[in-house]
Amino acid sequence: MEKENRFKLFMPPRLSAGQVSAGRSQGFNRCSDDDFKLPFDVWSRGEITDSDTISQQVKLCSEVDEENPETMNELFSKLYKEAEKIKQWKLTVETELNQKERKLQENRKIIEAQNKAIQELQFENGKLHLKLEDEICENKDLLKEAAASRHLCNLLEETYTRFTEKTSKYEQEKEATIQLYEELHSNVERMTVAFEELCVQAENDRLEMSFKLKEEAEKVDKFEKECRLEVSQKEKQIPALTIQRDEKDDVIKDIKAQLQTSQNKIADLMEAKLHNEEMLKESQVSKEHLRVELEEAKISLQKAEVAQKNLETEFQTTVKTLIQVTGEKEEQEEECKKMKALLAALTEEFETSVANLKSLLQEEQNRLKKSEDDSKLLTLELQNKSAELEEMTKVKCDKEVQLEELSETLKEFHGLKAQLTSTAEKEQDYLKQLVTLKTDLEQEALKNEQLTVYLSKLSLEKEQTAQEKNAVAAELKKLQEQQEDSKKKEDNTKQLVENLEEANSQLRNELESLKEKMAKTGEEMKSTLDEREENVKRTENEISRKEKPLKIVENKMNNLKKQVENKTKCMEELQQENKVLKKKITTESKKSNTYEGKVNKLQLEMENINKQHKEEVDIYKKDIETRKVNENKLREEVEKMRLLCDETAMIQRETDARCQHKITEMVALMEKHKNEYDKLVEEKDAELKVYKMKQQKQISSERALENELSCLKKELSSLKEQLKAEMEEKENFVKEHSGSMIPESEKKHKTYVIKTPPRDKMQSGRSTNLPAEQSSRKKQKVLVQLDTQSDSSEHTDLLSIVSEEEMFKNLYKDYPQASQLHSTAPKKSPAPCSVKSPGSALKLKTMRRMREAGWTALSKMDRKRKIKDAVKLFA
Amino acid sequence: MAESESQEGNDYNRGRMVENIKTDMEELLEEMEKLTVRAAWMAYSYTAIQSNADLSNAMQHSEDAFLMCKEQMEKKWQEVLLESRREREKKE
Repeated sequence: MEKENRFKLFMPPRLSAGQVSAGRSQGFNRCSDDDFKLPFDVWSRGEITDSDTISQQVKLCSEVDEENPETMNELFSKLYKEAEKIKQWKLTVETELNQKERKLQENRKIIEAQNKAIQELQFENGKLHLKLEDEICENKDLLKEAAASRHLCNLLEETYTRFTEKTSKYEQEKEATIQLYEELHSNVERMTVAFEELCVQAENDRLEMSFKLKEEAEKVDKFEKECRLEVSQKEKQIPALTIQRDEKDDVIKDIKAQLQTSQNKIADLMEAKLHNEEMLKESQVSKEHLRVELEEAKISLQKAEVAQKNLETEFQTTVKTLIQVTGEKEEQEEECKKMKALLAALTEEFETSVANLKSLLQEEQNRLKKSEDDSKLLTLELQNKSAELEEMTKVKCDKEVQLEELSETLKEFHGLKAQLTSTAEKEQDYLKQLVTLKTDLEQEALKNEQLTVYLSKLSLEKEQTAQEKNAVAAELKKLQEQQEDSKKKEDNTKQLVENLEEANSQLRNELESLKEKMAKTGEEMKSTLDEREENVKRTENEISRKEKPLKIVENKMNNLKKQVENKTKCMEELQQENKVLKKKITTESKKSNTYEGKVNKLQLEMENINKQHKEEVDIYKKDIETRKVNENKLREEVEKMRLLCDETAMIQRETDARCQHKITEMVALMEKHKNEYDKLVEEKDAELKVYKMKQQKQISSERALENELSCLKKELSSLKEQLKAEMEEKENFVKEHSGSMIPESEKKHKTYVIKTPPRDKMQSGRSTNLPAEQSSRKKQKVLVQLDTQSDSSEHTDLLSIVSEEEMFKNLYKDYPQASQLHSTAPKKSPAPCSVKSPGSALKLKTMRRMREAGWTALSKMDRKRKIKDAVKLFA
Repeated sequence: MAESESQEGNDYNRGRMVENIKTDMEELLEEMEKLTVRAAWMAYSYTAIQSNADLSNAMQHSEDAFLMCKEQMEKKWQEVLLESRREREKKE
C-alpha cells in the first residue's frame, strides 16, 4: 500500500508536482501518528532523499512547464540530466534497498526476539491478567464499596443538604426568634415602663383628682352656701314678690276692668262715632249745600259789599255834599229865613232819606249777614227789597215832588238845583244800583229758580228713574208671573202628559191584560175548541142531540167575536186616541218648548236687566264708595288740617308764650341789667364825683402842701443854718468837753417826722398843720402830714421823718390833736385808690379811663352776651 | 489493547473514583464536622435561649407592674371616691 502509494506518488510527477509535494507532505504528516511511528520512521527517512530529487524534478517540471518557448535542446539537456539523476537515484535506491533488506533481516531477528519477549510478556501478561482480574474483582468490590460509599456519600450529602437547609432554617428562625425575643423584651420593657408610668400617672391623677374633688367639693359647698343664701334671700323675696304679684294681679284686674270699661266705652264711642259719622254725612251734605249757597252768597256778598262800598263812598260824598248844602243852606237861611224851614225840611227829608239809605244799608248788611239762609229768605228779602224799592220809589217820587217843589220854590238857587240835580243823579245812580241789585236779585232768583228747576228736574229724573225702576220691577214681576204661569202651564201639561202617559200605560196594561185575556181566551177557545172538537167527536153523535147548544155556543162565539171585534175597535179607537194624545203631547211639548224658549228669553232678558241693574247699582255703589272714599279722604284731610291747625295753633301759642316769656325774661333781664347798670352808673358817678372831690381836695392839699413845702424848705434852710450854728457851738462844746455829749447830740439831733396819715384826716391834719406850722415857726419841730401815693395805687406810702420824742411830746402837749394823730399809727388807707399827689393826677386819669373802658367793655360784653342770648332765644 | 485501554480507563476511572471518593469523603467528613459543630452550637443556643430567663423575668416584671397598676388604679380610685364621699359626709 505504501509502495503503491509511493509509486502513485512518483508516477505523475509533472502533472501533480505541486500536489505531490503537498500530498507527500500530508502523507508525512499523516505518518506522524504514534501508531505508525516505527515503520514509518524508516520510510520517512528514505522518502526524504527522494523527496529532494522529486522536489527537484518538480521544480524542473515546473520550470519546464513554465519555460515552454525554451529550446528543445535545453529540454533534452534537462532530460539527460534527469535521466542521469534517475540513474543515480536508482543506484541510491538499490543501495538503500540493500540496506533496508539488511535492516529488515535485523529487524526480523529483532522481531523474533521481540516475539519471544512478547511471549514471555504474554505469559507475564497472563499472570498479570489474572492478577489484574483479581485486582479487578477487588476493584470491583472496591468500586461497589465505593459506589456504596458514594451512595452513602450521596445520602450523606443529601442529609447534609437537608441538615444544612434545616440549619439554615433554624438559623433563620433563631434569628427571627432572637428578634422576636428582643422585640418582646423591648415590648415587655416598654410595658413595664408604661405600667410604671401609668402607676405614676395614676398616682398623679389620683392626687389631682383628689385636689380637684376637694376643690370642687369646696366649690360645691360654696355654691351650696351661696345657693342657700340665695334661696333664703329669694324666700325672703318671695313674700314681697307674692305681695307684688298680688298687687300686680289686682292692678291687672283693675286694668282688665278698665279695659272692659274702655272697650265698652270704645263700643259706645264707636256707636257714637257711627252716629256722628251719619250726622257728619248729613251735615256734610248740608255743608255742601250750604257751601254752594255760601259761595253764591259770598259772590252776592262781594257784589253787595262792592255796592255797599260804593254806596258808602257815595254816602260819604253825599254826607259831605249835604254838609256843604247845609252850610250853604244855613247861609241861605241866614240870607233868607223863609227858606230855612223848607231847607230844614229838605234837610230833614234828606236825613230821612239818608236814614232810609242807612236803614237800607243796614238792611242790606243784615241781608248780607243773613245771606247764608235759604232761598226763601232771599226771596223774602227780595220782596222786602222790592217793597223797599217801592218805598224808595215812593220816596223818590216824594223826593221828586219835593224837588219839583224846590225847583218851583228855589229857581233862584241854581246852585241848589244843580245840587239837587246832582243828588237826583246820585239818586239815579242809586236807582241804577238798585236796579242792578234787582237784576242781581232777579238773577239770583233766576238762579234759584234754575236751581229749583234743576232740583225739580233731578227729582223728576229720580222719580222717573224710580218709576222706571218700578216699571222694570213690575215688568220683572210680570215676567216672573208669566214665567210662573208658563211654569204652571208646563207643570199642568206635564201633569197632563203624565196623566196621559198613565192612561196610556193603563190602556197598555189593559191592552196587555186584554191581550192576555185574549190569549187566554184564545187558549181557552182552543181548549174549548179542542174540547168541542172532542165534544164534536163525542157529540157528533150528540150533535143531533145538542145542536142547540152548538148553536148557542156558536152564538156565544159570535158574541165573543163581536166582543173581540168591539174590543179591537176599542183598541183601535184607543190607539187612535193614543195617537191623538201623542200628537197633542207633541203639540203641547212643542208649545212647552216654545214656552220654554220664551221663558229662557225672558230669563235672559231678566238676567240682562238684572245685570244692567246690578251694573248700575254697582256703578252707583262704586260712585258712592268713591264719594265715600273721597269724603273719608276729605274728612281725613280736614281732620289732618284741623290737627295741623290745632298743632300749629298750639305751636304758635307755645311759641308766642315762649316768645312772650322770653321777651319778659329778656325784658326783666334787661331791666335788671339796666337797673344794675344804672346802679353801677350811679355808683360810678358817685365814685367819680367823690374821686373828683377827692382829686380837687388833693389838688388843693397838694397846693397847700407845696406851699407848706416851700415854707418848710425855707424853714429847713433856716433850721439848717441854725443847726450849723449849733453844730459849731456843739463842736465847740465837744472840743471843750469830752465825748459824753455825743448821745445827747444824737438825741438832740433833730429829725423831722413827716407822716402820711389817710386822706380822711387831711382836714384834721390841715388843722393840725396850721398849729404845727405855727409851732414850727416857733420851734423847729414840725409835723408834716402828707399823703403821697406811690406807684401802687392801693396803699399809701409813708415818708416818715421821726422827730425827737421830747420835742414831739412837747408839741403834743400843746396840740393834743396832733397827739391823737400821732397816736394813731400810720395806717394804710383802706381806700382802693386815692391819688392825691400832683404827679399822679395823670395816673389817676389814666386809671379812671382804663376802669371806665373796662366797665364799658364789661357792660358791652354783658350786653353783647345778653343780646346774643336774646337773639338765640328769639331765633 | 482495548481491554487494557478499558482497564486503563477503568483503572483511571477507578482511581479517579477512589480519589473522588476520598476527596468527597474528606469533604464530607469536614462537612460533617462542621455540621456537628453547628449542631452543637444549635444545641447550645437552644439551651441558652431556653435558659435565658430575661423574657420570663421581664414578663413577670411586667405582670407585676400590671397587677400593681391595676391594684393601684382600682384601689386609689376607690380610695379617691371613698375619700370624696367621706369628705362630703363630713362636710354634710
